[in-house]
Amino acid sequence: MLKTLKFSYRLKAEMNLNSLVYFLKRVPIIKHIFRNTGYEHPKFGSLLIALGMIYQIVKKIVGVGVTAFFLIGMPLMMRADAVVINQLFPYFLHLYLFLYLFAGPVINMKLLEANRTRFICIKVFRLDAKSFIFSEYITGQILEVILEAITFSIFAGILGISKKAMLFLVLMKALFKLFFEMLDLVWYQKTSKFLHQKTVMMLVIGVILGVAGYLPVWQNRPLPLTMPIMIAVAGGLGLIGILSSIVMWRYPLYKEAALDSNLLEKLSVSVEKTKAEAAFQGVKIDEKSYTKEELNGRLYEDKKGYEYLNALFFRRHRKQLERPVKIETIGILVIGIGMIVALLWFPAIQERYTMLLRRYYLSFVFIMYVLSTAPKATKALFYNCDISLLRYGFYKEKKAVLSTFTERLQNIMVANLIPASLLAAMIIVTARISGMSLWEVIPVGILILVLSILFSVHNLFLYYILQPYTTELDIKNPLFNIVNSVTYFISYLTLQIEGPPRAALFVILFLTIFYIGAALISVYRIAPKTFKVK
Amino acid sequence: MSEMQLQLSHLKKSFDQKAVLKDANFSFEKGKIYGLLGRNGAGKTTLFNCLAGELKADGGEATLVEAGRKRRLTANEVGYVFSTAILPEFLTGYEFIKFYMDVNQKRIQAGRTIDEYFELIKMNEEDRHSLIKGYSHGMKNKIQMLMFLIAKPPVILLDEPLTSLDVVVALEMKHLLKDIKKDHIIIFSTHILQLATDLCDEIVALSDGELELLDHEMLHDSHFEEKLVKILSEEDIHVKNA
Repeated sequence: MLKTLKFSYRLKAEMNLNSLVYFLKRVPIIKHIFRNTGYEHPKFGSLLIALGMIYQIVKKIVGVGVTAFFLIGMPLMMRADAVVINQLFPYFLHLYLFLYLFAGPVINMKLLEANRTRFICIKVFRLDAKSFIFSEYITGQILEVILEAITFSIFAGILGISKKAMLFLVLMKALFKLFFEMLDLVWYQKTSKFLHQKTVMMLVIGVILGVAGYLPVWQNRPLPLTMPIMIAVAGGLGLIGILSSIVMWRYPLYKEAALDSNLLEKLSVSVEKTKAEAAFQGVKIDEKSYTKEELNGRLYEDKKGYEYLNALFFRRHRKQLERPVKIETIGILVIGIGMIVALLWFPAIQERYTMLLRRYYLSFVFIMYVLSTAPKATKALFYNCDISLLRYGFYKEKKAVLSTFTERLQNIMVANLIPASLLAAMIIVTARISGMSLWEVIPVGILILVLSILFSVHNLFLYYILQPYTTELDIKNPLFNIVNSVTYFISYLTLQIEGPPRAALFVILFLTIFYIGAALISVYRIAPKTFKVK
Repeated sequence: MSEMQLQLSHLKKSFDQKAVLKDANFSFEKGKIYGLLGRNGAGKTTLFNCLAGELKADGGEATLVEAGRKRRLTANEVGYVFSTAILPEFLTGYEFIKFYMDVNQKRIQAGRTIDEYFELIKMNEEDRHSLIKGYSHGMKNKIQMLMFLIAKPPVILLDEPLTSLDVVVALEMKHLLKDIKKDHIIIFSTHILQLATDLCDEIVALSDGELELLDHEMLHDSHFEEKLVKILSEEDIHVKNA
């Protein structure tokens, strides 16, 4: 088993190292240093294995820590201002029970999960399936228990819980996981299908347990749990896990299960490609949904060249691009009318509403980011149009690039401005009802419109400058990922911070308009050189 | 001397430390179909990509010589037929050709209507007005060929174009190529020897990063295959995806 483990870590380490070199070769500035680095690493032997293990551990530390913070830490922090810290204890136990003890084992089955190393080791190198799966699973679980023990001791320290008891809970959770892994195995034996692949079922269970966990905590009514009760429950679950492990050890079909779960079509040698294709699913066109009249060649006969191309593009993608706009518009309308009725009916909430609007107007950055349909449009543009036409010289000429950019920007901007103007109007109306002056609320309305334009321009700008996709549909430009994450992060951050004084609103407006201008100028200057298929 | 030539001089291209095109020199003439032969990874696609402006060569140049005047080859003057035709699938064949004719208006000599062009490649009315998404491989290839019939680029590069077509379409394409060759410089990459000898006027071997014209007499030699294999295997190439 140890030999198997060494082999798989070595393989993983080599694959990770190769991915790292591949990535570094594409990061601006750094790439020059790695230009001459090849993939033929000298035989590092145990160093490589150690490096691989360190990488896995660091990845896991981040994973375990971030999960615990988001699932339990953050909700507790949100309660912390209402409840004294040492009274948070039952809240913590309630969340741990539903999210970790119950939900964790169900939605996180790992034993038969498909992954690339497994595919290579079992299918290509024909290692013994049982010992491979076990060795990988056991080391993974031990690491997880250690990291969760550390993470939750920190929680225990803050909340004044016994660390030993906490350790027991963590251990029992890991054991209880075995029960579901066993169920997955037996399910496969009976039906030739896998429980862990039943995504809808997992999602439903996850949502139910999530609601059962968060709702009572939100309403300040967590279950009256004490540590002895928790220990009894967890101990019982752990015992079930131990019994399950006997069935697992005797299970006869590891090889068959491993071969069946690691199918090439599911995994593909390039998991990224499959993922990327899935990401493009939403923008595929369906040739059967068009009538003869639609296709008889008379449509937009009066238009010419790129205008003709774009008119047809946006028409044929109505379903993919107009539907989200319609849904958003209807959503805003319904919520807006609801708000108007509520504000008129219960004038008491007017004050709180204006306070929120004054304090959190920056949240519109995140809201407009989420409402923007531009990412979907650029994806469709690439996948259904540019991926093919960029292969031809005429399409890469400056005139062509700029003319498609302008046409598309108009289309995308108009589509985004429809829900944005409605939202702005609704905010102005509701704010006026609540007694805010026009002078106070109109800048917020303008901010919404400007932000809508900003996100339309921003996405198309990134697409034309960085053109991140390759013909294989994977994203090749790390800079694109970095810029996107930063955009998301900044937008998300605006939800958390209170709006600065009103004077700052004008600064923000100015900066946004400045960015739009700079982006447009850069596109006109640089895009003809950068807009091509990688 | 023929009226137009495509001259490659000292063309070089490397990937990381691997030199794929070392010093490619050659002169291709208008009116001929050239078969470019080379082993997998020899750099045929790299050469085409450099000529079509998809890749930037590290050194050397490609020029068009016409009536004694020399000018750099631009991407516009190259028609590149990919082994798998890539066309925008949300358009019908008819719409795509209309768009193509619009944007290339300046380069096209007025003459035929869209429908007349479709007659040329024997594509029926119903297919013209169906989405390209539903087209077979052969139909997409015909559309690609039609683009060159319309725009008449001086240089046409064909990357393994006939290998995956059915016999009927492949024969139609061969006839079409023979019909248009008088107006173009056509370079045809393949590793199917028979196709090369059958269709091409000259055979050029790409080996060890250099181009070499094979003796015309050799084409009809019964030992042609053995001789060619000998030339191509002189260097063992390991470059991938070049």
